[in-house]
Amino acid sequence: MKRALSLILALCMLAAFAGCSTSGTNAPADAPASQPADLEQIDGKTELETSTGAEATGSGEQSLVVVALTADPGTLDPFSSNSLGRLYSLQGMYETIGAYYNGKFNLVMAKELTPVEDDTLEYPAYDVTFWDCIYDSNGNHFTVDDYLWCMEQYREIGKNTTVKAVEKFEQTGDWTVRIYMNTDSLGKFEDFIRQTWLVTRKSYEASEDGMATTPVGTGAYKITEYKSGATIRYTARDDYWQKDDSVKSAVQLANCNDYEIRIIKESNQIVIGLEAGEIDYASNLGYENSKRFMDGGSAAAGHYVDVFQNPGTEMLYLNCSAGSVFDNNPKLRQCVMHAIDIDSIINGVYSGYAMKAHDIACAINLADYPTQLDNEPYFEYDPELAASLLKETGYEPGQLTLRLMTKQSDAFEMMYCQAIQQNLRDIGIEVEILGYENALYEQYKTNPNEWDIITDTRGEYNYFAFAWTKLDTNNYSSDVKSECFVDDDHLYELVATAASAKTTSEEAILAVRDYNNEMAYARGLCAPYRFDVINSNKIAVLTRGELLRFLPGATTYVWN
Amino acid sequence: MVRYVIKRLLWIVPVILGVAILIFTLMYFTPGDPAAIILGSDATQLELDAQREAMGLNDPYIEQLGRFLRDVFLKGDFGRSYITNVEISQELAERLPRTVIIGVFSLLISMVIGVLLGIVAAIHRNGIADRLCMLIALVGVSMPQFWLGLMLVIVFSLRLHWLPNSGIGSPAHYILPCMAGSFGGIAEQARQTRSSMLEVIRSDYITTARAKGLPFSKVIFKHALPNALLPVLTLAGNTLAHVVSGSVVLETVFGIPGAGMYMISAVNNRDYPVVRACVILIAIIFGLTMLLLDIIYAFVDPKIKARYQKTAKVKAGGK
Repeated sequence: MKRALSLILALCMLAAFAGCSTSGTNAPADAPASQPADLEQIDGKTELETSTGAEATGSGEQSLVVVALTADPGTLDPFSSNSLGRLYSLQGMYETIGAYYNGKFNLVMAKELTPVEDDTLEYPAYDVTFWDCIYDSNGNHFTVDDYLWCMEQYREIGKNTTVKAVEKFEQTGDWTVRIYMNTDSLGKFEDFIRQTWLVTRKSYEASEDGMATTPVGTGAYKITEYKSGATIRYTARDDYWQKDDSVKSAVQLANCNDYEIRIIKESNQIVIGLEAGEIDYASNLGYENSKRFMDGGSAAAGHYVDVFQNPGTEMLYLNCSAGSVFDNNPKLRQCVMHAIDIDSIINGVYSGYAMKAHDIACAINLADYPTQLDNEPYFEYDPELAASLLKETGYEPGQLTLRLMTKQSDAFEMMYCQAIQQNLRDIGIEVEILGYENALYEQYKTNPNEWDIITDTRGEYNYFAFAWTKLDTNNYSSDVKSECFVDDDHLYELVATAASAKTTSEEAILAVRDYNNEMAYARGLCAPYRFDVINSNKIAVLTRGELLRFLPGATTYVWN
Repeated sequence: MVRYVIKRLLWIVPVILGVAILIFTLMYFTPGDPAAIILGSDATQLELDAQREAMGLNDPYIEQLGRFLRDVFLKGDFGRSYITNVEISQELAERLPRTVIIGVFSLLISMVIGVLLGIVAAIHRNGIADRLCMLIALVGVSMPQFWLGLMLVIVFSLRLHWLPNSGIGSPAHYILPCMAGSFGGIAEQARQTRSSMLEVIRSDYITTARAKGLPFSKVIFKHALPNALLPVLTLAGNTLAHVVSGSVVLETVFGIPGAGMYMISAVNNRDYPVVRACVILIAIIFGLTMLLLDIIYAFVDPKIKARYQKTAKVKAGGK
């Protein structure tokens, strides 16, 4: 009797598990076979529509805006490296010289930013003129001395690597600084400018913990409460230094008096919080968690879902180190590339919500992306070709086993690795998937003995050419050379040409692509769409800033 | 008794030292690169090498171990987190109370309800009440904490709007985590209590007490229960000792930034100073909990107290 009862209870538990969605990483459930109905294919690109919930029915009175974030910022000090959690948490409170969004650079602390016209300079230089009326929330005046001091701190602490692209700083006037770069790689200056938060030396030195928990910035908001790992409360400053609304950029606006970031690692809790009305915005929830908030969903009332391309492409690199299976074996590399059915990955893993890559990375509103690439074939899925290439390399079906390394923390990556495993098995190549936690993955990435194929993600970038970073040998030591370990000077010359501001051009970008298509060292897979869920009872028009991050201060609410 | 307690307290020190050396060595040989976590995945290899050098990770093992032991045992300084650069003792001072609150209240609830269920089950052995109590125990032992936690959130937070679903900020935020954390403990305590009580109830002195005409409640609570409590206390002590390590699931589900999550996050990020500090903390909590348990044993069972006193007298006489 007891045994029967135990068995029944265990079966009930299993049934209950099957009904629960998985936590943490938004793993997809069963996917529809066709494209989602709300997506249209236009000229090879996919237009994304926003599903809308009910009209905003808020009372018009201001209330706290709550943003859910899964990434813990860890520390609020300005000089550490910028993770996603930190970028979300520090914007609006700290400021930079400028911010990059809507396809252009928008000045914040700088009144002017002009490139220096000097042919004698090997690398670019820029003149920055700061506003002379910048004060932080402690009332301390921000001056050029503070800027130079901040740059010293960045160099000394060394955790923010963007500053390494700068050769030196020179004060050229009471409120002006000249910045000399030591590289002309595309995007390096923009990355440096937008990722170096600026604070006053006085406030920093007055802080007992280097502003790790008690930050003081010059932004439109100040942090009034911080519970490590839990919540960060922001309140709009009455004494914000920029009084001229006509020159304010989006990051300087304060349309809501108070907003709060809640760090919630469990995605199911975020969904519950949204349904209960405790959370007003959540980013990147995934299709399965978001569909209940879409039109016709159980929680659609009072919510809408933004579905759009996320800046970030899934990529594949092949280990071409000396002695590896792919070394001097372009046919085998081509075989692997043509064996992958990217359409079925998009449909099966991402439920259709991903954009196919036509080069190493997907272009998301990047001015230098050659748009004609979207209509050109790119490692087309051809299992027969792949099988014949395998035969030509001398491997019999079942003879070759490859190790595919990925991050186990990302459920989608694990899933598409399984899809790739099956694709390669279909043509006779066995694949062993090695899923590692982040720390191990990062360590093994530069060890050619640990993997044959690796998945990686290229995140934020302002220029398409920047997407080739992992094949830029300047970023690696002489024995590693690049993500692929390949000893190919011609490749590196092409990448350097495309990545340099002086020599980049559409031809240069296409040259890298064409060469890589021939040599098949790496490929882009797809860029998954992002699903953001928004409380329409509070948020009328959502505004995004850098790399499509939500800007609570710039968003239009029902009370505005 | 006092001498016994002091001796036990002194023994904790070499144990902690051994634990510190062991955890340092284990983390030293564990693969993984904290520099890559700090700088992010887009950092170049050259930048990673420089960061490792700056963090002292390229120093020899003995040098790193010596530095660590000197800082912890001579200065009482656990250092700063590699990732957040915040003083670890400051973070733990903020996070540990949250974990302890959940752990202690879960334990209290599980003891009160579990012991009562166990007593009822023992008294009504093989009856309906016994079967019902044991069914509850079976369900409690089988049910995963994270599932139960989410179900409680759906019912009490989403549907009834009685309690907050996650985070911290008020005593109400701790109710659901404590409920979820206590359920498994209720089951274990009920089963253990039932088992102990059944053994005790069959004793001659219980039969004598009942034959003397003592009220039934007095027989159970004054005579039977104290003798049945020792294994129950042992179980409670073990649960309390694991309050930090066992809280991770609840903290993750309910979004409570406690010491458990801090430790797990540090393990994933190879934040060596935090991992070491947390393990040492767990060792201290374990040692103190076992000592507390021994003291409680002495109060609950006079035979044990007499044994401690006799041992102390013999040793004193031996000098």
